[in-house]
Amino acid sequence: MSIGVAFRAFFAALFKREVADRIREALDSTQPADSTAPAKLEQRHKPETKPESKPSTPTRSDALTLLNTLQREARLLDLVYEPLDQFQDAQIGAAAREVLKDCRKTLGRMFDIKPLAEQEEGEVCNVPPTASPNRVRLIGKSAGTSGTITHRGWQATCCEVPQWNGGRNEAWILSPTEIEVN
Amino acid sequence: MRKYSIGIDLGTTNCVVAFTELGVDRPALQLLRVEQITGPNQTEALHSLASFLYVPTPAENSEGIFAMPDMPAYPTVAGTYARKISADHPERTILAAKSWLCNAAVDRHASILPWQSPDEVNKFSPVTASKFLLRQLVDAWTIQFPEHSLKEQLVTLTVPASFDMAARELTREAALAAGLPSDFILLEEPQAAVYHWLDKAGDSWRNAAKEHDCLLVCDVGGGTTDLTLVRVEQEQGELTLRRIAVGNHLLVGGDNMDLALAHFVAKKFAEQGTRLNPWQSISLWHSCRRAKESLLAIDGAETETISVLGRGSKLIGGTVSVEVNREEVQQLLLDGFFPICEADARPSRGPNSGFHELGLPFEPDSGITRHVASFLAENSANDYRQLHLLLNGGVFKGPAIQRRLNDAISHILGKPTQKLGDHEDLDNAVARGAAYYGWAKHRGGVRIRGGTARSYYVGIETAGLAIPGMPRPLQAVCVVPFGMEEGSELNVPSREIGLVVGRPAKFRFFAAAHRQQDAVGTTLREWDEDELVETAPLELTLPTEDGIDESVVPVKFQSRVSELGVFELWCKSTTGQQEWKLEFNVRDAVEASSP
Repeated sequence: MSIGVAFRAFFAALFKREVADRIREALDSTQPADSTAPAKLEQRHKPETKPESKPSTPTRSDALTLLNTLQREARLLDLVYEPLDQFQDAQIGAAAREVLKDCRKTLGRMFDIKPLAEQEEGEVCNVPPTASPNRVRLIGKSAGTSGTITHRGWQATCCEVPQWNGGRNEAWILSPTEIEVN
Repeated sequence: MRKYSIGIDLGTTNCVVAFTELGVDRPALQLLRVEQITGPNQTEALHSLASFLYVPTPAENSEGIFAMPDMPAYPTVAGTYARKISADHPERTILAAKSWLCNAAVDRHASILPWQSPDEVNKFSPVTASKFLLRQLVDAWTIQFPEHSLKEQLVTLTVPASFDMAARELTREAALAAGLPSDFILLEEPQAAVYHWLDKAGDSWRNAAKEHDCLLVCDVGGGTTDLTLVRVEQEQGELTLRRIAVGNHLLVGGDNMDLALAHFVAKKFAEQGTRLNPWQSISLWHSCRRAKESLLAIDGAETETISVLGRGSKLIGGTVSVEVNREEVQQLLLDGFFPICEADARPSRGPNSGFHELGLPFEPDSGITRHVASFLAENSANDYRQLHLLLNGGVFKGPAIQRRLNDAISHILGKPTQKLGDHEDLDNAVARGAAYYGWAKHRGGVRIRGGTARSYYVGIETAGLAIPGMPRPLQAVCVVPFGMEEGSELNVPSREIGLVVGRPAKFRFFAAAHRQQDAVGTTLREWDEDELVETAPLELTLPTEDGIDESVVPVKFQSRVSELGVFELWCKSTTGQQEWKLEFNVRDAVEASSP
């Protein structure tokens, strides 16, 4: 089947300009162009709106910048590192609700996270014959043609972590000390 | 090569840039990502630029923590980070620069912002602050489209419909200094909202609105409210749109609602024995802003918890919460800002409380619907078949507010109104509409006709006998009638005015929102103070060279409004071919307006 598609693509690209452009786009894309990733394709269609990536060597891992941002915008570290033993569930819940709302906003902006499967949980679906284990995990039996969705899965549809421009000395700082000046 | 139509919404609290290619049959509008500081040594490209400017300390500047690798150095930090720390450092933050642009009570070229900040803080003028914001938008475009300089594109910048000629001229000045092309277009924000609707509706707009219908555009932003009335007319069998009236610039908006809600919730906290410190109060304001949307949902839980997080690392331990009743909140916000009122209700003009220290003329009456009632009455909005309501601004994300405004206006008019559009993307509609407008102008799509939103008058002292100690009586001559169309010029039929060569000739200048009956040349001998509002004076000094023989040159006025909406008043010599342009003198505005 693949060879057939390749032949058709070859001739279509040779004679039709717009088809050639679409094929180039599909080939350039690192993401598999399937129906479960419409947002990814949409993203690929507007490359001009993204800032150019910088060739300079980063002085800090994006993972640290992500933590820094989640702390600054949502106070995630404050929440995670506070000892829980002394508090009632309601007290924890009140704080967590605010932090979770802000985390979602920040994650949404940077990764635009969406469910992977289009169907809802509990719906019956066909098991794709050749899906990678990263995309589909079968539970109960290791093979089959249909099943019920127990988890829709998640996917990021973009990755826009802020850019860090500071020095190496400060790269490991996740949140500054706050001092109220008298 | 001109490839794009770019729409820029220079908002009071947020700036957004939208664009589309000009050569396409259907515009595909996109938002520009604007590189900005989101923290020390940290930048991010976001879809909007918060209209906040933080003035860094010399130490911060020398450490370079606010340098952006791809962008030039700026004297201030604009955007998200500036907004975030504005509450902690009010004396170093410029906010609502745009509202200062239309505040005739201050010299808008003077370095006065951040308002009332200590001497060691660098200060900037409202014009310069606006330039900084625009500059960053222009630079963001440049790094993403290095081959398509913004100066070569079709750029549309939006202004509040209520901005008078002087405020528009100042906006223009800031825009040109920031690098916008000299032929950029100024478009009124409510019109941009209508264009956004036209873009969404496509050709079906002709089914939604019929001849003799009116569109009332209610644009409630973070800090301001703008009203505009657009009538659907028929011209040679084609439906056209005409903007027939524009309301005053009202300094009341979503931020006032957040603040009102925060006060209400703070009282609830006090009732349960929790006193909030200043830091917690700011945090509460933030929580209220977020909670507002769900509290204003039509059907939701009966009560909602509002929490203020603890400071420092004692986040959970220090968190205090209070239950608020949804109905109570809706009552507070809806009755406070959108009360059901009668057609003859008028906003109260009482003294303002609380806000004056901020230096901006905030509305004494926060009842937006009373302003609407007054606006509709002044513009005899009953002469139409059907009134459609077009809502714009983030405030309307709360469905209860949409519904209430609809109900209130139906009540004022005594007949039901219809809401247009589904109000998606309320935050970006103005920028998108502006970009669409550029495309429609280029391709020949539907355009809203309107002309000037006000009539304008030049004050001329009468020649009568001088009475010691009394100023000579003043007459106001109409030089721009209401609705003067773009791309037209008018000779003002008046007596000749003698300009003395080499000496500045200064003319007081007035605007009127509701004197649609005055034709060009109409001379007013007396008027109500409310009716004619003085704006920045116009000035001209005739050069002594230039081949002028006489010492006094008799002239008459000619007004011109360019295709781009730029107003110019010229003095034409009645004895020769020469003509001179009058310039706004914004610097002297303060003296002229103070008693």
